[in-house]
Amino acid sequence: MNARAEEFDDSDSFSTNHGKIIFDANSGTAFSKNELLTLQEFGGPRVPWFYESNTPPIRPRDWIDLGNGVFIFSASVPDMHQALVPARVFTLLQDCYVGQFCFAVPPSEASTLPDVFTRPSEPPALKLDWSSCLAGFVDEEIEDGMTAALGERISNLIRLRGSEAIKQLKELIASNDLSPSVVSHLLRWLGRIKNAASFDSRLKLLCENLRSESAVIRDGASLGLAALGSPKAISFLQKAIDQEKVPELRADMEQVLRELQY
Amino acid sequence: MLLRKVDKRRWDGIAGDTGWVPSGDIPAAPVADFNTSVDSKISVWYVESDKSNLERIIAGIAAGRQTADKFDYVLFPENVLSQAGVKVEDVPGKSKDKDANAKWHRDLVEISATKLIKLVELVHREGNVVRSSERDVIALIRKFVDAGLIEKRGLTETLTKRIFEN
Repeated sequence: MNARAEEFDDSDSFSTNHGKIIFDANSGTAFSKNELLTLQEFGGPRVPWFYESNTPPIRPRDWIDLGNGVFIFSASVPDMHQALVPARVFTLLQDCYVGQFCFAVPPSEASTLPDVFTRPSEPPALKLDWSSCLAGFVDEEIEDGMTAALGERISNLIRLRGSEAIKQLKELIASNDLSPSVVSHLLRWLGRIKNAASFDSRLKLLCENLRSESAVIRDGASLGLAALGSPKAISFLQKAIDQEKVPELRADMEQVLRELQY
Repeated sequence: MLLRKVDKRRWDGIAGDTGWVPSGDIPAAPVADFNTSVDSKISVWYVESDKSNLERIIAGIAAGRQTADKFDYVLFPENVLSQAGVKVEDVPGKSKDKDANAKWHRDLVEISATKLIKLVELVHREGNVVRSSERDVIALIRKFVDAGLIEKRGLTETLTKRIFEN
C-alpha cells in the first residue's frame, strides 16, 4: 500500500476494502484529503470520493435509474471519476461498459457492489429518456458545435436503450414538439454515435428525415448521414437530392454525397 | 473580403419559399446571423483576396467549440461596409489561433439598427455563403494543431476525441 492509501486508511469513513478498490485503479494518482467528499448527502453510506480541485461534485442527478436495481453513474462526470469508480466495478463490467463516462451495473453483479451503488435511500433524481437528454436544449436555435453535453446524453441513451430510444425519438420528431434546430442537432448526433447495435435504426431514421417538411431537419438528416459515413445512405441521399427544392440545401446534400462516395 | 460565421439555412430564403418577400427586400432570417454585442459591435474576420488565411480562420474559430460540427460562413467584399456606412476597427479576436486573432480579426462598430439592416441586405446580395463540412473542419483543426498554430490543450476533451481518436 502506498503512502496515499495509508492516508485514506486513517479516514473513519473509509474501509480497507474500498481503499484497495480505489487504489488498484489509481496507483500513483495524487489526491488531496482535503478534497474528500462523500455520497452521504445523497442518502447512501459514507463512501469517500476524491476529486481534483477543478472538478464538480457528483450530484444526485448524475445517478440514473435503469430499473431492477441497476444504476449508472454518468452524465457530466469528469475524467477523474472513471478511475474513482471502484476498479472492481470496472473489472466486473467490462462487457457492460457503455461509454467513457458511463458505468452500468447489471442486476447479477449488483450484490457485489458497495451499497451506495445499489441501494440509495432516496430515489435517483433522473430518469434516462429523451426529456432528460434535451434538458437545457429547448431553445429555438442551438449554436453549431456547442452541443457536447447533448451528444453525451444521446450517446448514453442510445447505447442503453438502443432501437427503443430511436423509436421514441421518431415519435418525438413527428409530434412537432421540438424546434427544427433541435431536431437537426439530434440527427447529427445520431450519425456521430459509435454504436453498432443501433446502426440500422439510426440509418433508417436519418434517411426518413431526408423527407421532412422542414429544410432545417432535412439538412440535419443529411449531416447525420455524413457523420454516419455509410455507403448504405447513398441511394437515399441521391433520391433526396433529386427531390430537393431548395438549391442551397441541394448543394449541401451533394457535398455530403461526395463525402460518402469517396 | 470579410468573413462572418452564420447558419447557412437562414440564407436560403426560408426554405426556398420567398414569394412573400416584397421585391427589393430580403427575408429577415439572415439578420439573426449579424446579432451585435451589447455595445453594438459585430465580430468579423479579414480574409486575404487569395483566401490564403481562410483555413486558419475557420480552424481557429471551430477549435473554440465544444465539439466538431460543420462551419457555415459568409464571405463578403469590404466595400459593403462603406456602402452601409459601417466603421471597422482592428481588435484582437478570441479564436484558438492567437496569431490569427492578432492579424485578422476586426470589429464592425457603432452599428445602428438602420445600418445593420442595410449591411445585412448588402451582404445577402453580394456575399457568398459557404459550408465547411464537419469532416473538413476536423481535418483543418488537426492540420493547424499539428502545425503548432492551435494549442491542443486548449481544445475541449470532446473535441479532442473527435479530432484525434477517429
